[in-house]
Amino acid sequence: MKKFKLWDKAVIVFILILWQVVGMLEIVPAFMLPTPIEVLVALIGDWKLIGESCLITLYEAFTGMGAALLVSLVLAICMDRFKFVHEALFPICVVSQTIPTIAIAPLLVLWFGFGVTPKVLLVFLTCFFPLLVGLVSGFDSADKNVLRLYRSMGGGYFKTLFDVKFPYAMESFFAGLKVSASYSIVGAVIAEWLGGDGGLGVYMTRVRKSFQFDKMFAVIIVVSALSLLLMKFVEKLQNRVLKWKQ
Amino acid sequence: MVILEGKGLTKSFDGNKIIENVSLNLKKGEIVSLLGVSGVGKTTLFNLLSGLDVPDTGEVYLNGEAVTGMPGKVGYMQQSDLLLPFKTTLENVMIPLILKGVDKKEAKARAEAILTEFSLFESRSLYPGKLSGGMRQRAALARTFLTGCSVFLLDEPFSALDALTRGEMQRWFRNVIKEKGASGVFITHDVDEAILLSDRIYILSGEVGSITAEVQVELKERDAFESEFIELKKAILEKVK
Ligand SMILES: Nc1ncnc2c1ncn2[C@@H]1O[C@H](COP(=O)(O)OP(=O)(O)O)[C@@H](O)[C@H]1O
Ligand SMILES: [Mg+2]
Repeated sequence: MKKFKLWDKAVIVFILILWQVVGMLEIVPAFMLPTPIEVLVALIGDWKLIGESCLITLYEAFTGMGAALLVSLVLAICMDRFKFVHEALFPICVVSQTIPTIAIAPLLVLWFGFGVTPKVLLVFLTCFFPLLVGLVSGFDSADKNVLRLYRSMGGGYFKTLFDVKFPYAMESFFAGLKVSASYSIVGAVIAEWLGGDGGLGVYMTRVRKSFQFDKMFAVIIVVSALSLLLMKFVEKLQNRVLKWKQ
Repeated sequence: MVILEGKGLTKSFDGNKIIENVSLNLKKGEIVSLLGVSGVGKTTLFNLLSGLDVPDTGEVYLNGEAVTGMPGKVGYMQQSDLLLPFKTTLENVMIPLILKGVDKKEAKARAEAILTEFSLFESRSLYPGKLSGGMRQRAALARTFLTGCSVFLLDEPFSALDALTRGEMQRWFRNVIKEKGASGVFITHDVDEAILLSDRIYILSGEVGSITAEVQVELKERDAFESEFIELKKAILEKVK
């Protein structure tokens, strides 16, 4: 993702102004389409609650993603080390991806109640696969001749794994991590829609029920901003790890 | 004294026989070259000698001990440099030392010393992607020497070097081998290089590669302009055909 150039910014500003003008002219009923300024006011006015909700959602997203990272890491190493683990489990993982997240969310709520658990689980389930695929295909992308040379110079399995396979895997791992990062926030929000004590999804459901469109817009902006920030962070991290590519 | 020996080596890929019944040896302190046109099976033979590949038939002996299919016994520089793209030149060259458990500080010092000899010291913190073909080849050669093996197999070690650097590296290579009492086989398709550097030349040729000639290089002067040199070159070119 490139930095916004001048033209991109101009377009965004233009859209915001247009939106503001349309809202002020009341072409669309004001309560249905709040102006950007009203949204901003709502955002600032309800900041305390939105901020708290943010923290809850972020907590769920990070916990789910962290767990997914850990499990995919262990599983990817097992798959790399033992061919039969790969053959036994990888197809199942692939098939599991055809189950839409939204479809299992209600089931998770039925099983685990309205607490944090079903949210974290949902995030875990959405993040896990891109991470696993990133790592497994990354390990496979390591130059076979380099691996052989490394072994022949006395590198054992784990030494070779960490010194050679991991660095080779980083590019495809980060591709998976970026996808997971963007899924994680949305996954948590979707799980929260189905009920709970707090979080951006719960906040969303509440303001929707009371037709507070300005707060609705405000929270949508916050959700996208969080995803965007997380993606940016991952990107920064990637540039650092893959600095040899530049 | 024979230090490395291949006996009756045969190798096929997908039913195509590449080399057949190849026997050759390397004596202690000797530099031997393997000469042949490209595609004849020189690299295939080296993969067998180094233990990276297993022959269909035949055995490889190192100091009289069978080491067929056992990699890591000799310092092998492969045709592609196989530098790790995510490690700097210095880190790449340090690998064999680190893997042998040499203390990091000492490994760094030794790697820096050899990089200086190879005129790569300035480039030590560059990633291989930023090096020229010749620099990469030198780095790979430096790394091979740091394996600390006493037998080297070098697959076209000087092919990517420009004429000036090549002469320098060739002299360096011959000196180091002779000084250390090490031994080496190197692959080349350059007859001049073979004569300049080696004590003995094996010629690999034929539809299915086999050793068709063995030439002892006994020159008073290793000088490409001496008539003796030119005679020998003619004789070898005759045999390569
Ligand atoms: N792993 C392999 N699988 C199939 N064919 C191979 C393999 N390695 C080498 N060959 C074939 O063996 C022949 C000799 O290759 P090689 O030993 O690299 O030749 P040289 O090093 O003399 O140029 C070539 O025709 C090549 O295609
Ligand atoms: Mg070759």
